[in-house]
Amino acid sequence: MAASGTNYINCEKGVWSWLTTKDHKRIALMYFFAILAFFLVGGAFAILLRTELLTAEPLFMSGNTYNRAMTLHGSIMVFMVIIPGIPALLGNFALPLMLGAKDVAFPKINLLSWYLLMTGAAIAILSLFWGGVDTGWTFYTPYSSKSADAVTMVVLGAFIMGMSSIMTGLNFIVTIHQLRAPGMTFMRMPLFVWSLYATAIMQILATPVLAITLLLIATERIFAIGIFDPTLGGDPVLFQHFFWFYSHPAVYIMVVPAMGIVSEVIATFSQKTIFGYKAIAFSSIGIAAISFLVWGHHMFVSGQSDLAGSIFAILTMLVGVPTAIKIFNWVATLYKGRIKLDTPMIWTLNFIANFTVGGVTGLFLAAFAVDVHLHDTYFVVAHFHYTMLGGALTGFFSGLYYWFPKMTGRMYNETQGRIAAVLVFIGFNATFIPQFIMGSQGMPRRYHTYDGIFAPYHIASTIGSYVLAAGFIFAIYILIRDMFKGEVCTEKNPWGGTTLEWETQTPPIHENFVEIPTVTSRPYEYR
Amino acid sequence: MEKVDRRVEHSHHFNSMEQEHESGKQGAWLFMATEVMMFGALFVGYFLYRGLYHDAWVVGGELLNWKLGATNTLVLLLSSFTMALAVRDAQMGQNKKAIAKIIVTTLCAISFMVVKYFEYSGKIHAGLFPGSWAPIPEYMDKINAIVEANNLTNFKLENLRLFFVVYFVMTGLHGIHHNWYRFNDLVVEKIKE
Repeated sequence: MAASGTNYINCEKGVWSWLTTKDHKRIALMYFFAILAFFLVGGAFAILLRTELLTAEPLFMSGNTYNRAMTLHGSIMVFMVIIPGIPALLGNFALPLMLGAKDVAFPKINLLSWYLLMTGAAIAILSLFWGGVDTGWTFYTPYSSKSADAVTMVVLGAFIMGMSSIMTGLNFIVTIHQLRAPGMTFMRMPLFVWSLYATAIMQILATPVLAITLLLIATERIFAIGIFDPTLGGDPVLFQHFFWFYSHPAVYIMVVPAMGIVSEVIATFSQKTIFGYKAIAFSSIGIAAISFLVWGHHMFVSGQSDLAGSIFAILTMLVGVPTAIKIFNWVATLYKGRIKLDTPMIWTLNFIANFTVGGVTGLFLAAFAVDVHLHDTYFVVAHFHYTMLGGALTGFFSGLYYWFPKMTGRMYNETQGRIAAVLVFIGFNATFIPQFIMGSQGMPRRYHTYDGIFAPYHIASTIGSYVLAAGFIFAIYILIRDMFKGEVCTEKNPWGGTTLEWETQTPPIHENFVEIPTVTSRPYEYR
Repeated sequence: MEKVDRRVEHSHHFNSMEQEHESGKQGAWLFMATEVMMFGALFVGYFLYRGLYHDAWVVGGELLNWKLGATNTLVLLLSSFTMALAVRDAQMGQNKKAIAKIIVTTLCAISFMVVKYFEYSGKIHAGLFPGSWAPIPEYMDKINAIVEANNLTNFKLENLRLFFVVYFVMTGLHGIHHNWYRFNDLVVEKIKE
């Protein structure tokens, strides 16, 4: 890493100084390595799954192994990569800097969150040695109460990771309320901060419900009692209500912070005042509010009444409004901007293109008559990969490249960065467009085999996934290599950004600012 | 990190003691919100099943020991009261008094668990623990008597089992939770000393 003067990286030395650090920027770097490692593991499972699906006959996995790999792919990507990815890693790094604060409100709890995530992740991954789990990441009862595998372990792991997520959210809300620099009113906060605020509300209010639900599954299995198991008098649909009451807001926990990054990047790389600041800020809060009222759209075919189905369908379509507001505002910001196609911007344009597809197909699925046909098919798989991978993860990588010079004091290789971003775009669409087609023709999700008529789509999808994997591996390789060997960058503001993190030195000192700045205007005042 | 005397000096990333105190309070309130959501889910489950299996809930309620339940309610209220007094003492700088009251609170926590032990063991001996469900004949007679006395035509024994699932899960989690936080309080106090 760069070594020019004192900064947060070289102010203390030794592994112990990292493992006990309370500096939000150092904790962010610890998340960086952990989360990218989880991402590679989760991605490896995805590639195994896609390779197995090259042929309808078993290639190298039995059906049971396939189910276990599928469960781990989902659980790792959701609980260990995307949920902590943006808030815990990039949020931790950027939030106090953007607010003009010296740290988050509770630095010790911040470190505790990191350890909780590591503990939960270790427990969940170690379950592999106890036979693994084949329930899928949704742990639907009654199968998960009966399945002989290590469900209890994974569920407890997810419980602990949930605590980590709650603590991060709590920390961020208090930081935003208490530690803003003089003059930083709510209406002068960067849009990434707004999106983290909305995310934190969801983390705090939704995650406890998941926690208790997972605890109930563990209790049910340990004491052989029937909370959700119908043979013992329980109600399995109650589980679905509880689970989706968390897990639907959870998809916004994953994507809203990515939207925040897109807002930052789009303004900076268009060198233009963001269009509709207030609309973008409030639409984050709007998404958070509506997210709690739409969970029933996962249960259109679970015996829900038509009335409940209609209400949930309408409420779900409402989410499209704040989402579309954001997309229109981003596009309007691009209009007549001085657009620079640097790597973060390419990832951000990836986000806008892919996420729009993911959002619009979400409306198809929200229409509950259509959903009866598409439910549990590859159409759904493609839809949520467009939002989670094409959306949340590309936003995550956009942010990683955007704040990379500030974080490390080095610059990545621009040409290679662009190539990786474009590779991901091509590979991603090649993987998931065939899945939309075969899903609409009835290919069910979560199967290790398929009818011969789907073979061409599966083969195309698998080839696409190799390109996608190559793109992501290249993107990560560039980051890790240039973190240690890239060109030294000590420029305060390499992108010409207007938010406070660009006003301090690169990389920042331990307390972020030599003198806490005073804010006199909104961000993004370019012209 | 340099050692900071928290009673006089604020931590390095705050501007003032007031700001630090406000942040702590806000954090505690947000934590309470997570608690409401967590136990809220359990109450949703309770009310859902109560609506579905009303008759079993009537029988289950009659089988509980109201005297032990009332005792524990008083113990909990007392422990909250002494805890609140302890906070007041700590604010007045009377640490010894505060610690005495925290000890009373802890004793309350212990007696809560003792009462709970008698409550639970009575149920388990009667075969009412749902994991090893086998109500003894004496209790079967009781159950039948309650069903007849209240004319509960929709009563099913398996629903009574579900009642005890909900009973043990809710009270059990509450007990664990209660002790965990008493333990935490103690640790926090020790650190502050």
